[in-house]
Amino acid sequence: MGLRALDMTSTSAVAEKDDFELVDAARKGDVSAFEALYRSHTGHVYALCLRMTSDPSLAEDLTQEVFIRAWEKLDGFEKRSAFGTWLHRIAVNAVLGRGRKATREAGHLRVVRQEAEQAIPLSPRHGDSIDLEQAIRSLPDRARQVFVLNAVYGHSHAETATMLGVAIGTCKAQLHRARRLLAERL
Amino acid sequence: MQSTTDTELMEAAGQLPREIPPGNDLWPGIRDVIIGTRMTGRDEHPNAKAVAWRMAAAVALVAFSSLTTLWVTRVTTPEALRAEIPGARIDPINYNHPLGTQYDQQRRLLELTYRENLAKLSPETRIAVEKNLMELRDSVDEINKLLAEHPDNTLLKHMQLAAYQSELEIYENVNRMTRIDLLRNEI
Repeated sequence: MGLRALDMTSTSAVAEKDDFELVDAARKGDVSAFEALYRSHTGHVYALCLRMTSDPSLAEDLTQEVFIRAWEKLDGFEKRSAFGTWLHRIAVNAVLGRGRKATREAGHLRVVRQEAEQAIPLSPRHGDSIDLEQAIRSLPDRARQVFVLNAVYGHSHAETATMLGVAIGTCKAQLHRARRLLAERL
Repeated sequence: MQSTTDTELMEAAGQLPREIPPGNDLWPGIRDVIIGTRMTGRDEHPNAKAVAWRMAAAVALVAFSSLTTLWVTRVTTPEALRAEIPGARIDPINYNHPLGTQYDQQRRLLELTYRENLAKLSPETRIAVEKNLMELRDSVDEINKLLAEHPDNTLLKHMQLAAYQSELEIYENVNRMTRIDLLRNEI
């Protein structure tokens, strides 16, 4: 897996060992051990949620949801991947699950919001440069999700397509769309 | 093929910071929820809350049955206790996990005396005791169903033992009250 955010270095290997010890303690009901895991990984989870949703408030809700789900499923974590990788998967599923729910509940409002976002001009400009984060946030939902998973977090097209539940061709088309929109806006 | 600008864009995206701290401390909200879920156990069945309610209901029913029988047998008047009711019969509770041969023998003896003494109670008292035993039996059925779904649940095992104890207490209360009444009459 080409998950760029979770490359193994000697430092991360030590962190992973520490994570596993904390997981073992949390499994026995040690809430303070789970808090240590939260403190260690919340920045990563929140960044992913924020980039996937473009909504700071929703990203905070989702971050809480991710850690609650992680606590509930902790016994199912088999340590075959890093704890951070496992959390990353939970976060992606939480974001997509929330998106599906929102689509069911208010599909028309979502379309209006998406179209409005596309029409928002990027400002303020600072010379020739513009904040890449801000430009990513301005992308339409699906194009943004594909770009974040593929370009920012380094997932392959196949992995991204599987996570989003779309065909690889659709994934590539959305990435192309995202790049074109970003190139226009940067 | 990607243009230079396109390649730069992808490289820049890959170099974005991996972590962004949330604006608020989210831990208190998470802690409150997970401390709540610890009451029913982590990674429980999706209907863990429903199971917890069923367990609570069973506990309440067992406790209520025992206390009601205790109250009924204590307030019953001596005259009522003497009323003969022919054919009084209560089926024993069927437990899936016997506690051993010796225990079963003692329980059977206690139950035999109980059946004899139950026939001496007033109709109202007998009906109340029978009703409590039926409720206790329903509770045991519910506990056994839950134990079949969650065989390692320690709380359920304790509840099953408590149900055993409650059954014995009902037998003992009835037997004790009839003994006291007999003693009073002898005096």
